[in-house]
Amino acid sequence: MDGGLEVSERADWRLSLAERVGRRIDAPAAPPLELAGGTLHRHWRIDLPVDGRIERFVLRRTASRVLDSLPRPAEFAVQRAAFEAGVATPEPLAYGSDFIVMRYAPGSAAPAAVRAVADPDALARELARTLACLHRLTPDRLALPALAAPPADPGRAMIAAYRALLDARSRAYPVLEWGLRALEHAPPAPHRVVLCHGDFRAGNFLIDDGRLSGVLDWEFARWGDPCADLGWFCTRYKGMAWRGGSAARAAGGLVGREAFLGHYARAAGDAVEPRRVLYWELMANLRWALFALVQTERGLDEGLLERALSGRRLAEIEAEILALTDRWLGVDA
Amino acid sequence: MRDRPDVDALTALADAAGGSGSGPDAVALAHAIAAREAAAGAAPVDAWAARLARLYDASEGEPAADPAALERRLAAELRAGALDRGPRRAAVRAHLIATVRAKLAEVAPDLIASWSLLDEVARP
Repeated sequence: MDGGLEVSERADWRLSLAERVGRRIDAPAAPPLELAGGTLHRHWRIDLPVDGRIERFVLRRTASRVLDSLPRPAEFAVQRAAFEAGVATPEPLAYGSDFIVMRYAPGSAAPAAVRAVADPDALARELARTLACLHRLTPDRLALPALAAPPADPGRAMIAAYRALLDARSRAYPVLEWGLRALEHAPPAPHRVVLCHGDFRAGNFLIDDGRLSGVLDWEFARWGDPCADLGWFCTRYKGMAWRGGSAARAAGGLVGREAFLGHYARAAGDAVEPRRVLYWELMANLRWALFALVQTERGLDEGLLERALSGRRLAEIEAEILALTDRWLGVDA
Repeated sequence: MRDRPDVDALTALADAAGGSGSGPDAVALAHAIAAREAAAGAAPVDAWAARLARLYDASEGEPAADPAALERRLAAELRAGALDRGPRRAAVRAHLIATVRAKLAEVAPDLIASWSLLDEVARP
């Protein structure tokens, strides 16, 4: 074992990788290097001799699943489909019940790396193009049996799912009910359903020398409204500190919302309705709130302070939900 | 009103955080929340319970209704659309704003200014 990682000849990930690439894979050339980041998973960079030549891989191992996250085989299928469609993401090569092996891609996934880029507009354009490329994958063009069936109305499906999650809790959350009810008021008509990343934000992008090296963490991918990814990218949750709270950089901490939506619309060849994005931004905050509740329970169960603190940071998300609900309903506050 | 973890659990986690890999920022935040809660005492929770009782027309001198039960009732009414319009809607909105503001005052008082609607309610 090395840093909690099994590296023997019989290690499941080595067997799976060897089978997938169809070549001889020897023991790692150097001790696996655990990579930073990942709250639900652990990652190691592994340099392996493949047919006598050193190749670099990343092993992603499950720590746990949360809310609607995918199991690893399903996550592999989605990332593979995205890679084959030309989305910038490390090539996934092998998987097991609790791991994925992918090619190593250079860069840092720290949110600070995104905020520190010299040309945020250029990176925003790159991200918008990447998202538009992903959103070209539709259920009629791509079979992904690992995912739940495409919903006829993604918004209504999500509201129902979130209410079910609230019903499973021991206390009521009126602010979340307030926001969910507002989303039923004049919702945008169901739009096209596409493959959504589900967690498209700083922290899940590899940035190398100011440019996008790859999109990571596909465990929340699903069929949905493309504006779900756009709304998620624009959420303001200071507890997670990826946007930094600046309205001028409302889109992912990089650029203004309008600028990003413009980049996306040009890349997708499809106009973006700001009101539809607002709907999904409110939905995104409701999702964050539910994440916070789940993380709190896990933190308490596991004795981890930072996770448990998510429960207290719920108030930040609730403030945003109240503000966005006013905007959605057209309340002049 | 106050979200989980309660202050005892929060303090215990912060005290034990040395071995859990939690950073100093989290420990400092936990202790700051505990200190602000101790300073505020029961007043924010009492105010929250009183607002809920007013929303449901509890008269002076009546046995106090369980605020958690009133909160569940409020959530159910919201979901059912019973508060979509009408004279009680503004009072409910004000209650929700006041509750979130009171929680932020203990968790992240520096963030209150980030949302202008939080200024609509009187400070406790």
